[in-house]
Amino acid sequence: MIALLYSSTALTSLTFDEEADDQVIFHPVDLPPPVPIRRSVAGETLRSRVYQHTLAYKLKFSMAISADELADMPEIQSANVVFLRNFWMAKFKYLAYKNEGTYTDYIEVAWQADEFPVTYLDGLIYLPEVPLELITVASVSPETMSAIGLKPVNPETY
Amino acid sequence: MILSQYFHTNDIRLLPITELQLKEDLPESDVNYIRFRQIEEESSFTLTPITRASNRGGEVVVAYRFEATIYVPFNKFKYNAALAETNSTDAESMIAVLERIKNKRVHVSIALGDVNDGTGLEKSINSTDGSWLRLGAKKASLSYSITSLPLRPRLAIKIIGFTKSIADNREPGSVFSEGSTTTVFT
Repeated sequence: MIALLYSSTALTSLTFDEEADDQVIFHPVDLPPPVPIRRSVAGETLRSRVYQHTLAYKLKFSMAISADELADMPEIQSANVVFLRNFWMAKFKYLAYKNEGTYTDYIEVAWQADEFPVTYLDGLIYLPEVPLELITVASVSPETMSAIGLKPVNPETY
Repeated sequence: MILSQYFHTNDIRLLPITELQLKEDLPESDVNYIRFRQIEEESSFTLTPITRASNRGGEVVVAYRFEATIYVPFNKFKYNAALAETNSTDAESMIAVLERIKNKRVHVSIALGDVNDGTGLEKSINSTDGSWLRLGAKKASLSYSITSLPLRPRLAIKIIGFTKSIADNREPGSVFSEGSTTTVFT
């Protein structure tokens, strides 16, 4: 499960609140574990020594929220589709990832899709599906990685 | 043997399709409806899940597809106001009504077995109970065909619709209603 929350201003507290406004908890049909992404600067010195300095670790959350949660026949624009569109348009986007029964704190993410990526199962307008690819805006701490269930990166090399 | 036991306790009811009602989704003052009360035995319906494979190896039911093919024996297509009842005041033929609603979203009610449709319908002899199957407004569309059997042409009405859930339909409550309840278009 994953909770998505949007806001026009930055959250003052990142503690997860199940009753927060502008938040919906989804059960995506596809929700693989987030993928760590390393941002680094690499090169080779004049003495031919290769270096790679890590700048940050980000997490990419890929998921698909399907018609089981988005359909609301005969409505075409269901409340959850409207929510996702608002989430996509919002200035500040957050998610809380449920791991072993516990939600993480809110993590600010970006959704870089230029176009709201809605598709329709079997070509039926009643059955929308929205694939999301969210990337953390800031470097993710080892504690957050641990909370998500990913093995934390060795802090010494982080 | 087990089947026989359930029949004995009247847990398995005989619910043949006995009536089809189609209503155009318009404000009540301008409703076009048509009601067929003689349905051929081979008429049938299916409610099948539309599934989407999840990445956990399972299948998620996202909605249900409803399909019905209703065979109507009436074939006096042009001047037949009596066999298929409509609310039209000008004795419009059933084909004229079907033509008018064919490409629109319709409200579908199918009577299963012995039901009270509010008009004093005679009890059907091969039913042991009654139930309504309803798809709420805007959830279905229809097409119809006329096919020729050895001695007569007949009308076949094909209905295709979708519903999110069978148990928790938005309107008017549930796809299936128990008992011989009266129905009114809602």
